[in-house]
Amino acid sequence: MPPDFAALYEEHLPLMIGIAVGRFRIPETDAETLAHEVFLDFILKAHRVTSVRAWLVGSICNASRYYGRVRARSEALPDSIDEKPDPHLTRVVDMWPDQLAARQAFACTTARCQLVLHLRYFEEYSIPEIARELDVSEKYAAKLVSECLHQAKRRYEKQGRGSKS
Amino acid sequence: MKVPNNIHALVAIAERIEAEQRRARPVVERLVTTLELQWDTEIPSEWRTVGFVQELNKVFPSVLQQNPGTAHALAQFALVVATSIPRDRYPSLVLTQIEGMAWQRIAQAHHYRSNYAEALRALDAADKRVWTENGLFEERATIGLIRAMVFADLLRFDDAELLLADSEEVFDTVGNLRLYGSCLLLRGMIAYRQHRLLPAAEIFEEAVEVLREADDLPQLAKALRALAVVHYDLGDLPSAASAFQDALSIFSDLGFTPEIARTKGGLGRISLSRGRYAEARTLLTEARSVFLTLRMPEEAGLAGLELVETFIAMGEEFRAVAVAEQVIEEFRRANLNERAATAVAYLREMMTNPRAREAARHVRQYVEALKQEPERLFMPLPDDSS
Repeated sequence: MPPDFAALYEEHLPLMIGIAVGRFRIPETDAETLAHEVFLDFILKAHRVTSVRAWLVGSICNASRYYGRVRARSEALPDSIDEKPDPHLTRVVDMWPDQLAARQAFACTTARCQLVLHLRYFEEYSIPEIARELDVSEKYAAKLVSECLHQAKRRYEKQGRGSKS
Repeated sequence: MKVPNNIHALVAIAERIEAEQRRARPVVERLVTTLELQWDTEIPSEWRTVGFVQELNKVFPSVLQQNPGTAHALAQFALVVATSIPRDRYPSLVLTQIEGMAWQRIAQAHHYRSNYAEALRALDAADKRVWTENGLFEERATIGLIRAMVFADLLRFDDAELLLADSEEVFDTVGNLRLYGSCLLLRGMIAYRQHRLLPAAEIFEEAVEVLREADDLPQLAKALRALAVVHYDLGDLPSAASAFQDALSIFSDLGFTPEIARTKGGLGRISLSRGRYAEARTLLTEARSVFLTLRMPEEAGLAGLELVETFIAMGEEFRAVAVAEQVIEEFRRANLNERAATAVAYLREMMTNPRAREAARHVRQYVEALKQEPERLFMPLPDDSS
């Protein structure tokens, strides 16, 4: 983070919000969020930004343009939306805890198993794709997936017992 | 966690990540050489931070140039650490950025080793992440640039140029000279592969200027080498040699082993064209040996084929046959395209033929073209009696 970050923030925030609102017709509250997202991104990349002002101004323009594109693709919901349940959310009560539990269970495993399980269950890699990613045979990749699942189950249950006692 | 909406919250996050990076730096330095031991243990909780992943991502480019296999493993490890960070500790934009970056690195490692399908698969995963955040346009543009590089290697030039135009615009607006220069470099490569040599030379010259201004030494050296190859093809050997030497000097300073080998291979080709066979033999042998050590059989084979041509020119047929047989064996062991081994087997049969040198060049050009067109059929040299 540059030593004069606070000064940069104070100097550029109004300009950036002004650009998003004035040039791209973005509502002020959203423009403010966008400007803060750009600053957050700046924190991650500050070490390789050569011209700060050009970067911040260019960034708010790009972020605003993208915001506009996403908005243009979205449609207003029908008035009857409150009456019908979203079919994607019918299993949400089961699904979210399952996903959270899966993340926690995978995090208990070895690094190799985390990678294998992440590829298989979050990125939907097939066994041949996992084999190519790990540079192993397909047979070994299938065995790894199965062993890692067992490891996740075993360790997650053990952790659960540990936290209860 | 939401995006911080005031200066104090932003500074707090920045300071936290900087402190994590400081703690991670010595650990990551050690990890580069001991990563293999880490895969079968659980990731320590103090490593599960954004700063740690950023340090892993930071060392990736130099490791990639020295050892692509280790770089690939590092990128995979960065992904594992990034996905195991508790979601409520950082704003989602930050977590999305580091996960997207890890996928981007995996794609780069695959691309570096010509695994195009795997690179595209990894880019899809990277895309899926960064398209959800307004702020990450530079990441989207970078993913577009890497995808364009893969498309260019697959000869999908129109798709590549389309992506390149979008990425160039983004890098230009934020003043990112380094990646703008990389876009120019790719544009030049595309022109070269389309056999438009003069426009390619012009674009590479512009890329050299931009990358010199950006002080991006690795890319500058690549642009110089690309320029050298065009000069060579245009028959301007002195300019080619000078650009190769400039590239070699930068790569040597950086210690980028595979790139040093590639550049020496280029200088070897010039020596061969100038009839300086002993010099060509030394340069090509060095390059081939590095590729074999780094398990890059395709590149080793290509250097080997140039060595075959050198030995034929030197009248040392027995050495030429021995190298050709080694190359066939290496191609088969690495499960490379069977057509390549068939073409080299044809060359071995041609060794005592007066047109052996021509055949060596013909086979090398064919094997090089197979990288982009794996289905291309091998045709022996046309009969010169016709």
